[in-house]
Amino acid sequence: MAVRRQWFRQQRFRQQWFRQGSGRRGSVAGWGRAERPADGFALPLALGASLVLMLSSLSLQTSALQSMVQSGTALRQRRAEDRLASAAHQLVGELSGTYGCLLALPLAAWPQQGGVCSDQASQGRLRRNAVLGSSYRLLAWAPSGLDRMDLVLELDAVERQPPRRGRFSVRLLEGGHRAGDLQELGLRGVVP
Amino acid sequence: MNLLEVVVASALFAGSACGSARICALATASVAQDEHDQQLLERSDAALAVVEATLRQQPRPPLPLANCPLETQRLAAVVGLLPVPAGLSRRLGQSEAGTQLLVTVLAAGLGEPRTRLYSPAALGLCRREVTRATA
Repeated sequence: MAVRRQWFRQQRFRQQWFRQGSGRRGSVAGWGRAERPADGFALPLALGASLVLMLSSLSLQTSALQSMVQSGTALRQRRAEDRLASAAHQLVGELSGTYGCLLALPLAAWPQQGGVCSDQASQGRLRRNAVLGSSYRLLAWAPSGLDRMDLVLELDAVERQPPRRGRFSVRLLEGGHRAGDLQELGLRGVVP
Repeated sequence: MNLLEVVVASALFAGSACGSARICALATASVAQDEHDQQLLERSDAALAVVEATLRQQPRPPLPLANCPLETQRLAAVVGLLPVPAGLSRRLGQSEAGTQLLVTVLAAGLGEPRTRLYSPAALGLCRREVTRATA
């Protein structure tokens, strides 16, 4: 009986030793199933890195394109401002000479009191004219003080550009018979 | 991980890196061009502002005022002496009646030139002939 018990102990010891031995052998090799890195990690890593690269470069390109669009808008705005300022010079130049009787008259009084130096057709041409290839409208011409007149012009809408308004101030000299100084008060008015 | 996976992953990464580098180069070039255009735009602003300031600083002549075509010619000569900013060129002209000064600023990157019309009569520098014929 004692011999049999001794044999069972030896058998259990051998089983434990083999179990520990196989585990140790796996860990020593470093590629046991539990500790070995997962297969196929390179492809997802490359995919992720590629995605990040492409997204960041596309984002950069988008911001560059947006900047270009803004530059184009700024250039179109400057050209519209040029045309508005030119229109003001053209109109005030005409009011300062040929149509001098209209210079000190508000726009509403032109039809009644402006007949001395202008007829209906010429007044219509002053109200709606063209400069540098763009047509414009005279919206307001009214006194804004003792010797100043306010001028508001609107540039007609052209392709992809809204109508734009400009406001100017004109100083009158010689008792309102001559324009003295044309100043821009605002050229960035966009009609809503 | 086998050799095929490594090769495919490397090719994928190399392709995307190459494409990304090209897009970045394009974006950088367009940003540089945009900055150049902005500088030209600002210089054209400055050039036109100098012209306008020069016209405004002209002494108002005593009465009787000169006629406008003569005054416009004189102003064109004055403006012609002003320096032109680098990268720009300037062209001066007069309207058909000779009563308005046309200042055109050209820049290679800005495409269509910028033009402004100045009327010496609107600045009080001359008097236009009061005749219906000039209307």
